[in-house]
Amino acid sequence: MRVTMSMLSERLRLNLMTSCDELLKAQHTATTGKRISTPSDDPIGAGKSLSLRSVLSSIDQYARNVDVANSQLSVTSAAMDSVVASVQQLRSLALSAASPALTTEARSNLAIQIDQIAKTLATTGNMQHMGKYIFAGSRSDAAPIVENPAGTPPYLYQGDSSQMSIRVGADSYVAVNVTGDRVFNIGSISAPGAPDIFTTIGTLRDAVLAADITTISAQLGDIDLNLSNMIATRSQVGERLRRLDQSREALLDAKTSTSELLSLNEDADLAEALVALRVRENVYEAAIGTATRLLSVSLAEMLK
Amino acid sequence: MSFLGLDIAISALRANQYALNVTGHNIANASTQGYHRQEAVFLPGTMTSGGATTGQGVPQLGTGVVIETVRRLQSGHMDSQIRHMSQFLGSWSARGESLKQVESMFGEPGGSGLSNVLNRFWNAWEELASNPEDPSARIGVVESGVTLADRFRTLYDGLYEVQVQADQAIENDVMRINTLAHQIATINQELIRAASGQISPNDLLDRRDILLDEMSKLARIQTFGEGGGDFIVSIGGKALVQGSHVTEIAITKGPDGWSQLTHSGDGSVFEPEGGKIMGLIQTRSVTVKSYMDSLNAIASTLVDRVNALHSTGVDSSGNPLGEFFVAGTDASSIRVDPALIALPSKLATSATGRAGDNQLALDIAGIKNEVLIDGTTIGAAYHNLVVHMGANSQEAITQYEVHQVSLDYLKTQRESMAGVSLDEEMINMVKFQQAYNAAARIVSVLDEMIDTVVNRMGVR
Repeated sequence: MRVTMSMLSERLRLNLMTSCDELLKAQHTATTGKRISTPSDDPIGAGKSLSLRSVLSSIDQYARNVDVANSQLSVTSAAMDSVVASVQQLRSLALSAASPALTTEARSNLAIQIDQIAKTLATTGNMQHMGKYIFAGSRSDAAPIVENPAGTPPYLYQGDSSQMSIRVGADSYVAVNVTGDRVFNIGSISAPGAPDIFTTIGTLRDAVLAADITTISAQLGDIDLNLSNMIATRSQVGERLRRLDQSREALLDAKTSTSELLSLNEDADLAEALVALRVRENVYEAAIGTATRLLSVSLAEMLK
Repeated sequence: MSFLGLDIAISALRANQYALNVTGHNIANASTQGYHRQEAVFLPGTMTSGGATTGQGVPQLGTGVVIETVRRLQSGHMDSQIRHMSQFLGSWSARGESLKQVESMFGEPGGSGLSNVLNRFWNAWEELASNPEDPSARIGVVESGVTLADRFRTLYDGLYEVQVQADQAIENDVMRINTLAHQIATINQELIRAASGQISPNDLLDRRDILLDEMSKLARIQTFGEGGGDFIVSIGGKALVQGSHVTEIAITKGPDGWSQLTHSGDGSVFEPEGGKIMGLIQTRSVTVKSYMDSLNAIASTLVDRVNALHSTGVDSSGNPLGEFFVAGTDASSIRVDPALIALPSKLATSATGRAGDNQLALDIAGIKNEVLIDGTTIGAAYHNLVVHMGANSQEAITQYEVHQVSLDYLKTQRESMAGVSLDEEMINMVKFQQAYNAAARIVSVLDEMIDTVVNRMGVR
């Protein structure tokens, strides 16, 4: 083949440009640590990266949702503990008030304690967490348990029965509240056969002051009905908290595996990238070396 | 004794000097783009009897040498192949460059991309669903909505800008084609004159080839004929240059606002069939347009669905709250209701208006998992668009590289045939120099012989 000077120089220019371009790419991979920096590097891979990142972003959000739900249900659980403890105390007060041997002074003391329990229950029912009334259903901006100005029943429920759910997975929800009507049996029939707890307390107090042993004993049944309703609600909250723990674990696992997939998909093997960079550098150096040697000789210099 | 010998020697002196000049011309143009090496073609002079007789009759004696012509090393076949390849290269390079620009606008996969902004939008709704009473969660939703709308519009405007740039480039390239056509016609005119004056038109042919090479990058061309008057350049199936006559490509504004190209001769639409102009038209009217359409479809689906849910929301007094995105129906116009930006409390979280009701926020956040467009979710539809765009860009890059290799090979072949080899020219230079010296030697030998006849013989 007939070879001309400009063939040599043109080929040299092209080879230099090619190896320089490859050097640039190798440098980019080694410095960013990414195999894919634009979609054209690997269109399918880039699409996969976007999907995996969306999944990761959702997982992170679900994990935050789990934290919110957890904090609210933990507060609810503590409140339920206090409610149950108060009603258990109420029950023992009722038992001791059923004794006919009590003095009038002792009875009025018991009545004060019983009243106090009603106040404690109302306060717990109006418990706030992060500025919202946790037992108010969706009417969370106002206290749900309010004293009845008419006097009977002693307290009214101003919330609603809404269950508020939070998403903790693509298609998985956790209810983060229990409503006061259910807990205190006001305006609902969560403890069938018994009036709401505040009415029961009122009746009990009046009976204690009046030393009406028959009525006191009758209230014990209502207290027990309410108590078992409250304990059931409390274990429901506990069950939700356990589910949240499971969700948290599942999300953590999903996050780990998705991150791994993402890394496999778009991260460069660093050792490989550095070796490739070294090779490209050598090739480029060799190309430059050849360039200086080739273009310096010519027949014209030899002729005299 | 005749002086024929001196004539022969002089013809040799002249021819070799001429050839040396051709060598000089070649060396001078060793680096000239598109130059085809030239070669002085020697031809023996016509025979003569020379006045002598031999036993076999009248012998024939040469009359020296003449330069028959200065031949231009042709590479016609290679030229047309190179032009054929250039058209592909021009087309893919135009598409590749535009698509690189498009890719950088999408900014995927990365933090600034629409995908990430969309994820943040859904997450903001989730956050609001978790804390429906929290004013900062409302602000988060509104702000992420504004960012999302901005990103859609920026991306759409960027794509439109690519179309505008492509359109301008098309106009410039068509004007360039017209300029080149006129230059070729002028050269054809000169070739016609040269043919009548027996002038060797090699360098004119070189110049015409350079112009044709440049034109072939812009659009697919075909050439017919060799000389001046019969030389035809056809483009898009119609004659662009016929001898010294040019039929320009006309640019008008089409109904879609983009430049429309027609043959000025018969007003028919110009189809470039290849080259940079075709690549640009493809980019402008097909590729980038399809991205904009997809983006519009995605944005419209998002707007419709979010609005449909949001408008079922009411405030605490039960008044309906209206739409989230207003006045915009696609990616070019999507915009969050300014009333919401001013007053994030206008954001709907429920259909009951109660502070703790998060159902609507939960539903809107759930749109991300709804199959709404092309059998998939809004996010995945966008991911598919990115994959589609990346594949187009990758194809353009690969095709460009493939055609670049082929073109380099062809150019090397042409250079091998028609390029100037300095080594070869050096050898020719020595060859012509020595032939010249030898011819000069003949002159001095003949001179001595004449001297013998004229001066020595006459003295006796």
